[in-house]
Amino acid sequence: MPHYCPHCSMVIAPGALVKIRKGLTRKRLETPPAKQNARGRIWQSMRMSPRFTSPELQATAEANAANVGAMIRALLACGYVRCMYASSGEVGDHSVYTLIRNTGPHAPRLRGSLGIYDLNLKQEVARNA
Amino acid sequence: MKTRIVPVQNIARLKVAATALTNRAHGVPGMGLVEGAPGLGKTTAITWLVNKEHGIYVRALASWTPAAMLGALLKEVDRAPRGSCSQMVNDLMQAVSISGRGIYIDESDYVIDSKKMTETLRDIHDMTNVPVVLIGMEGIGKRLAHREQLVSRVMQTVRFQACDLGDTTLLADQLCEVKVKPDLVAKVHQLTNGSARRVVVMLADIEQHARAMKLDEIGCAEYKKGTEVLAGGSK
Repeated sequence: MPHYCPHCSMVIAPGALVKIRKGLTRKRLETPPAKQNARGRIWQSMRMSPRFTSPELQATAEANAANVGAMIRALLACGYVRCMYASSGEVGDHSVYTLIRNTGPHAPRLRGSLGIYDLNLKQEVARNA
Repeated sequence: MKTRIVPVQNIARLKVAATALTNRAHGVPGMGLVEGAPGLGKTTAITWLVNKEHGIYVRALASWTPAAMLGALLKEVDRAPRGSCSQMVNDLMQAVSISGRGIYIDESDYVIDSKKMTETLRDIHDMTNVPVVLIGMEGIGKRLAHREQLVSRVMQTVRFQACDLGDTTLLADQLCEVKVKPDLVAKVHQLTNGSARRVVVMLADIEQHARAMKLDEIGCAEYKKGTEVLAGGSK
Protein backbone atom coordinates (compact mmCIF):
# COMPACT_ATOMS: atom_id res chain seq x y z
CA MET A 1 0.00 0.00 0.00
CA PRO A 2 1.52 3.32 -1.00
CA HIS A 3 2.24 5.97 1.61
CA TYR A 4 1.66 9.63 0.86
CA CYS A 5 3.53 12.67 2.02
CA PRO A 6 1.09 14.74 4.13
CA HIS A 7 2.32 17.95 2.50
CA CYS A 8 2.60 17.27 -1.20
CA SER A 9 0.63 14.01 -1.63
CA MET A 10 3.67 12.36 -3.18
CA VAL A 11 3.94 8.59 -3.04
CA ILE A 12 6.78 7.79 -0.64
CA ALA A 13 6.71 3.98 -0.69
CA PRO A 14 10.05 2.14 -0.83
CA GLY A 15 11.38 1.99 -4.36
CA ALA A 16 9.31 5.00 -5.47
CA LEU A 17 10.82 8.16 -6.87
CA VAL A 18 10.74 10.99 -4.37
CA LYS A 19 10.90 14.59 -5.51
CA ILE A 20 13.58 16.36 -3.47
CA ARG A 21 13.13 19.73 -5.19
CA LYS A 22 12.31 20.98 -8.69
CA GLY A 23 14.09 18.84 -11.25
CA LEU A 24 15.69 16.52 -8.66
CA THR A 25 14.21 13.14 -7.81
CA ARG A 26 15.70 10.30 -5.77
CA LYS A 27 14.76 6.68 -5.55
CA ARG A 28 13.83 5.57 -2.06
CA LEU A 29 16.00 2.67 -0.94
CA GLU A 30 14.35 -0.70 -0.45
CA THR A 31 15.99 -1.30 2.90
CA PRO A 32 17.83 0.91 5.37
CA PRO A 33 21.62 0.57 5.38
CA ALA A 34 22.89 -2.38 7.40
CA LYS A 35 25.83 -0.52 8.92
CA GLN A 36 25.03 2.17 11.44
CA ASN A 37 25.80 5.73 10.46
CA ALA A 38 26.13 8.58 12.96
CA ARG A 39 22.36 9.27 12.94
CA GLY A 40 21.70 5.60 13.64
CA ARG A 41 24.11 5.65 16.56
CA ILE A 42 22.58 8.82 17.99
CA TRP A 43 19.10 7.26 17.77
CA GLN A 44 20.36 4.10 19.46
CA SER A 45 21.94 6.17 22.26
CA MET A 46 18.67 8.06 22.72
CA ARG A 47 16.75 4.82 22.98
CA MET A 48 19.17 3.38 25.50
CA SER A 49 19.34 6.41 27.81
CA PRO A 50 16.31 7.32 29.93
CA ARG A 51 17.55 10.92 29.97
CA PHE A 52 20.29 12.43 27.85
CA THR A 53 22.13 15.64 27.08
CA SER A 54 23.80 16.61 23.83
CA PRO A 55 27.36 15.98 25.12
CA GLU A 56 26.38 12.53 26.40
CA LEU A 57 25.04 11.57 22.99
CA GLN A 58 28.18 12.93 21.33
CA ALA A 59 30.32 10.72 23.55
CA THR A 60 28.36 7.48 23.39
CA ALA A 61 27.45 7.75 19.68
CA GLU A 62 30.80 9.21 18.60
CA ALA A 63 28.99 11.89 16.63
CA ASN A 64 29.66 15.61 16.27
CA ALA A 65 27.76 18.37 18.03
CA ALA A 66 26.08 19.69 14.87
CA ASN A 67 24.66 16.28 13.98
CA VAL A 68 23.38 15.60 17.49
CA GLY A 69 21.89 19.11 17.68
CA ALA A 70 20.10 18.73 14.36
CA MET A 71 18.65 15.42 15.44
CA ILE A 72 17.46 16.72 18.83
CA ARG A 73 15.89 19.85 17.30
CA ALA A 74 14.02 17.90 14.62
CA LEU A 75 12.73 15.29 17.07
CA LEU A 76 11.77 18.01 19.54
CA ALA A 77 9.72 19.77 16.86
CA CYS A 78 8.00 16.52 15.86
CA GLY A 79 7.09 15.56 19.41
CA TYR A 80 9.49 12.60 19.69
CA VAL A 81 11.69 14.20 22.33
CA ARG A 82 10.70 16.24 25.35
CA CYS A 83 12.91 18.75 27.15
CA MET A 84 13.09 17.88 30.86
CA TYR A 85 15.36 20.74 31.86
CA ALA A 86 16.25 23.79 29.79
CA SER A 87 19.84 24.96 30.04
CA SER A 88 20.50 28.38 31.55
CA GLY A 89 23.07 28.95 28.81
CA GLU A 90 26.00 28.93 31.22
CA VAL A 91 29.13 27.03 30.26
CA GLY A 92 28.82 23.40 31.31
CA ASP A 93 25.05 23.58 31.87
CA HIS A 94 23.24 21.40 29.35
CA SER A 95 19.58 20.83 28.57
CA VAL A 96 18.28 17.40 29.51
CA TYR A 97 15.98 15.56 27.13
CA THR A 98 14.05 12.33 27.10
CA LEU A 99 12.78 10.23 24.21
CA ILE A 100 9.00 9.92 24.48
CA ARG A 101 8.27 8.08 21.22
CA ASN A 102 10.58 5.13 20.86
CA THR A 103 9.08 3.73 17.68
CA GLY A 104 11.71 1.14 16.81
CA PRO A 105 15.27 0.35 15.81
CA HIS A 106 15.56 2.58 12.72
CA ALA A 107 16.65 6.18 13.08
CA PRO A 108 14.19 8.67 11.61
CA ARG A 109 15.29 10.60 8.54
CA LEU A 110 15.30 14.34 8.92
CA ARG A 111 13.26 16.22 6.34
CA GLY A 112 14.02 19.83 7.31
CA SER A 113 10.87 21.93 7.37
CA LEU A 114 8.77 18.88 6.43
CA GLY A 115 9.57 17.19 9.73
CA ILE A 116 10.85 13.62 9.79
CA TYR A 117 10.25 10.33 8.03
CA ASP A 118 9.83 7.52 10.54
CA LEU A 119 11.13 4.30 9.00
CA ASN A 120 9.65 2.20 11.79
CA LEU A 121 6.10 3.44 11.23
CA LYS A 122 6.80 4.00 7.54
CA GLN A 123 5.18 7.43 7.64
CA GLU A 124 6.04 11.10 7.50
CA VAL A 125 5.67 12.99 10.75
CA ALA A 126 5.07 16.75 10.47
CA ARG A 127 6.51 19.38 12.77
CA ASN A 128 4.15 20.74 15.40
CA ALA A 129 3.22 24.36 14.55
CA MET B 1 34.21 20.00 29.90
CA LYS B 2 34.96 17.87 26.91
CA THR B 3 32.72 15.02 25.89
CA ARG B 4 34.36 11.75 25.13
CA ILE B 5 34.67 8.19 26.30
CA VAL B 6 37.80 8.15 28.48
CA PRO B 7 39.75 4.88 28.38
CA VAL B 8 39.67 4.27 32.14
CA GLN B 9 40.39 0.74 33.27
CA ASN B 10 36.74 -0.36 33.13
CA ILE B 11 36.37 0.81 29.53
CA ALA B 12 39.70 -0.75 28.56
CA ARG B 13 38.67 -4.10 30.06
CA LEU B 14 35.28 -3.94 28.32
CA LYS B 15 36.93 -3.17 25.00
CA VAL B 16 39.38 -6.06 25.34
CA ALA B 17 36.56 -8.44 26.27
CA ALA B 18 34.40 -7.28 23.34
CA THR B 19 37.27 -7.77 20.90
CA ALA B 20 37.93 -11.22 22.32
CA LEU B 21 34.25 -12.14 21.94
CA THR B 22 33.99 -11.03 18.32
CA ASN B 23 37.35 -12.45 17.20
CA ARG B 24 37.31 -15.73 19.09
CA ALA B 25 38.66 -18.96 17.69
CA HIS B 26 36.41 -21.59 16.16
CA GLY B 27 34.58 -23.68 18.73
CA VAL B 28 35.22 -21.33 21.61
CA PRO B 29 32.01 -20.33 23.41
CA GLY B 30 31.30 -16.62 23.41
CA MET B 31 28.98 -15.50 26.13
CA GLY B 32 29.90 -12.44 28.14
CA LEU B 33 28.98 -11.12 31.55
CA VAL B 34 29.22 -7.49 32.62
CA GLU B 35 28.55 -6.70 36.23
CA GLY B 36 29.00 -3.74 38.52
CA ALA B 37 27.36 -1.48 41.07
CA PRO B 38 25.38 1.53 39.78
CA GLY B 39 27.23 4.79 39.16
CA LEU B 40 30.41 3.24 37.79
CA GLY B 41 29.63 4.22 34.21
CA LYS B 42 28.22 0.87 33.16
CA THR B 43 25.33 2.26 31.12
CA THR B 44 27.49 4.83 29.37
CA ALA B 45 30.09 2.20 28.55
CA ILE B 46 27.51 -0.26 27.23
CA THR B 47 25.79 2.41 25.10
CA TRP B 48 29.13 3.23 23.57
CA LEU B 49 29.99 -0.45 23.01
CA VAL B 50 26.62 -1.32 21.45
CA ASN B 51 27.02 1.60 19.04
CA LYS B 52 30.55 0.56 18.24
CA GLU B 53 29.66 -3.07 17.59
CA HIS B 54 26.18 -2.38 16.16
CA GLY B 55 24.78 -4.86 18.66
CA ILE B 56 21.20 -5.82 19.33
CA TYR B 57 20.37 -4.18 22.64
CA VAL B 58 17.33 -4.86 24.78
CA ARG B 59 16.59 -3.98 28.37
CA ALA B 60 14.96 -6.76 30.36
CA LEU B 61 11.80 -6.01 32.30
CA ALA B 62 10.52 -7.66 35.46
CA SER B 63 7.43 -8.82 33.57
CA TRP B 64 9.39 -10.63 30.88
CA THR B 65 8.44 -14.14 29.80
CA PRO B 66 10.38 -16.10 27.14
CA ALA B 67 7.84 -14.91 24.54
CA ALA B 68 8.22 -11.28 25.61
CA MET B 69 12.00 -11.55 25.45
CA LEU B 70 11.94 -13.06 21.97
CA GLY B 71 9.39 -10.46 20.83
CA ALA B 72 11.61 -7.61 22.03
CA LEU B 73 14.68 -9.10 20.33
CA LEU B 74 12.75 -9.68 17.09
CA LYS B 75 11.58 -6.06 17.01
CA GLU B 76 15.19 -4.94 17.26
CA VAL B 77 16.09 -6.94 14.15
CA ASP B 78 13.08 -5.53 12.32
CA ARG B 79 10.94 -8.64 12.28
CA ALA B 80 7.39 -8.95 13.50
CA PRO B 81 6.98 -11.25 16.52
CA ARG B 82 4.69 -14.09 15.46
CA GLY B 83 3.57 -17.55 16.44
CA SER B 84 4.90 -19.74 19.18
CA CYS B 85 8.15 -19.34 21.07
CA SER B 86 9.89 -22.01 19.02
CA GLN B 87 8.88 -20.24 15.83
CA MET B 88 10.17 -16.94 17.19
CA VAL B 89 13.47 -18.55 18.21
CA ASN B 90 13.85 -19.79 14.65
CA ASP B 91 13.06 -16.34 13.23
CA LEU B 92 15.55 -14.73 15.56
CA MET B 93 18.27 -17.26 14.85
CA GLN B 94 17.83 -16.70 11.14
CA ALA B 95 18.04 -12.94 11.52
CA VAL B 96 21.11 -12.91 13.76
CA SER B 97 23.00 -15.50 11.77
CA ILE B 98 22.59 -13.36 8.64
CA SER B 99 23.79 -10.16 10.30
CA GLY B 100 26.12 -11.68 12.92
CA ARG B 101 25.21 -8.93 15.38
CA GLY B 102 25.84 -9.63 19.04
CA ILE B 103 23.00 -9.66 21.59
CA TYR B 104 23.25 -7.38 24.65
CA ILE B 105 20.72 -7.80 27.44
CA ASP B 106 20.68 -5.09 30.09
CA GLU B 107 19.20 -5.59 33.57
CA SER B 108 19.63 -9.30 33.00
CA ASP B 109 19.01 -9.90 36.71
CA TYR B 110 15.42 -10.42 35.54
CA VAL B 111 16.47 -12.96 32.93
CA ILE B 112 18.73 -15.19 34.99
CA ASP B 113 15.98 -16.05 37.44
CA SER B 114 14.07 -17.84 34.71
CA LYS B 115 15.52 -21.12 33.54
CA LYS B 116 13.61 -20.97 30.27
CA MET B 117 14.96 -17.56 29.29
CA THR B 118 18.60 -18.31 30.11
CA GLU B 119 18.41 -21.63 28.30
CA THR B 120 16.80 -19.95 25.27
CA LEU B 121 19.69 -17.49 25.14
CA ARG B 122 22.11 -20.39 25.40
CA ASP B 123 20.34 -22.12 22.51
CA ILE B 124 20.55 -19.00 20.36
CA HIS B 125 24.22 -18.67 21.21
CA ASP B 126 24.95 -22.34 20.48
CA MET B 127 23.10 -22.43 17.17
CA THR B 128 24.25 -19.12 15.71
CA ASN B 129 27.59 -18.51 17.44
CA VAL B 130 26.88 -14.80 17.93
CA PRO B 131 28.17 -13.30 21.18
CA VAL B 132 25.53 -12.96 23.89
CA VAL B 133 26.36 -10.46 26.64
CA LEU B 134 24.40 -10.27 29.89
CA ILE B 135 24.67 -7.00 31.78
CA GLY B 136 23.56 -6.81 35.39
CA MET B 137 24.12 -5.68 38.91
CA GLU B 138 26.98 -6.77 41.12
CA GLY B 139 26.76 -10.46 42.00
CA ILE B 140 25.00 -11.64 38.84
CA GLY B 141 27.86 -14.07 38.27
CA LYS B 142 27.27 -15.70 41.63
CA ARG B 143 23.56 -16.07 40.97
CA LEU B 144 24.35 -17.79 37.68
CA ALA B 145 26.85 -20.17 39.24
CA HIS B 146 24.39 -23.05 39.62
CA ARG B 147 23.59 -23.10 35.88
CA GLU B 148 26.66 -25.03 34.88
CA GLN B 149 25.92 -25.28 31.19
CA LEU B 150 25.65 -21.52 30.95
CA VAL B 151 28.66 -20.75 33.13
CA SER B 152 30.86 -23.00 31.01
CA ARG B 153 29.99 -20.85 28.00
CA VAL B 154 30.87 -17.57 29.66
CA MET B 155 34.16 -16.63 28.06
CA GLN B 156 34.57 -13.10 29.34
CA THR B 157 33.51 -11.52 32.61
CA VAL B 158 33.96 -7.80 33.03
CA ARG B 159 33.53 -6.57 36.57
CA PHE B 160 33.14 -2.81 36.76
CA GLN B 161 35.24 -1.48 39.59
CA ALA B 162 35.47 1.85 41.36
CA CYS B 163 37.79 4.42 39.75
CA ASP B 164 41.29 4.33 41.24
CA LEU B 165 43.51 7.40 41.49
CA GLY B 166 44.95 6.73 38.02
CA ASP B 167 41.47 6.66 36.51
CA THR B 168 40.48 9.87 38.29
CA THR B 169 43.65 11.56 36.99
CA LEU B 170 42.87 10.34 33.49
CA LEU B 171 39.32 11.68 33.71
CA ALA B 172 40.59 15.05 34.96
CA ASP B 173 43.22 15.28 32.20
CA GLN B 174 40.91 14.28 29.38
CA LEU B 175 37.64 15.93 30.37
CA CYS B 176 38.63 19.20 32.06
CA GLU B 177 39.69 22.09 29.92
CA VAL B 178 41.67 23.57 32.80
CA LYS B 179 44.65 21.90 34.43
CA VAL B 180 43.67 20.24 37.71
CA LYS B 181 46.62 19.96 40.09
CA PRO B 182 47.40 16.50 41.57
CA ASP B 183 46.43 17.53 45.11
CA LEU B 184 42.91 18.43 43.98
CA VAL B 185 42.65 15.25 41.90
CA ALA B 186 43.54 13.25 45.00
CA LYS B 187 40.89 15.14 46.96
CA VAL B 188 38.28 14.43 44.27
CA HIS B 189 39.24 10.77 44.29
CA GLN B 190 38.88 10.63 48.06
CA LEU B 191 35.50 12.39 48.12
CA THR B 192 33.83 10.46 45.29
CA ASN B 193 34.57 6.91 46.50
CA GLY B 194 35.48 5.96 42.95
CA SER B 195 32.09 6.62 41.40
CA ALA B 196 32.72 7.73 37.80
CA ARG B 197 29.42 9.62 37.71
CA ARG B 198 30.33 11.68 40.78
CA VAL B 199 33.86 12.33 39.53
CA VAL B 200 32.45 13.82 36.32
CA VAL B 201 29.94 15.99 38.21
CA MET B 202 32.69 17.23 40.51
CA LEU B 203 35.13 17.95 37.68
CA ALA B 204 32.45 19.99 35.92
CA ASP B 205 32.02 22.06 39.06
CA ILE B 206 35.79 22.52 39.43
CA GLU B 207 36.06 23.67 35.84
CA GLN B 208 33.25 26.17 36.28
CA HIS B 209 34.93 27.46 39.41
CA ALA B 210 38.25 27.87 37.57
CA ARG B 211 36.52 29.71 34.73
CA ALA B 212 34.80 32.09 37.10
CA MET B 213 38.14 32.88 38.77
CA LYS B 214 39.91 33.00 35.37
CA LEU B 215 42.47 30.36 36.35
CA ASP B 216 44.42 28.10 33.97
CA GLU B 217 45.40 25.77 36.75
CA ILE B 218 43.43 24.88 39.82
CA GLY B 219 44.52 23.14 43.01
CA CYS B 220 43.17 22.60 46.50
CA ALA B 221 44.20 26.10 47.59
CA GLU B 222 42.05 27.79 44.93
CA TYR B 223 39.16 25.38 45.32
CA LYS B 224 39.09 25.25 49.10
CA LYS B 225 35.55 26.50 49.51
CA GLY B 226 34.30 24.20 46.76
CA THR B 227 35.69 21.05 48.34
CA GLU B 228 34.02 21.90 51.62
CA VAL B 229 30.70 22.36 49.86
CA LEU B 230 31.10 19.14 47.91
CA ALA B 231 32.17 17.13 50.94
CA GLY B 232 29.01 18.06 52.83
CA GLY B 233 26.63 18.66 49.93
CA SER B 234 24.55 16.37 47.76
CA LYS B 235 27.05 16.45 44.88
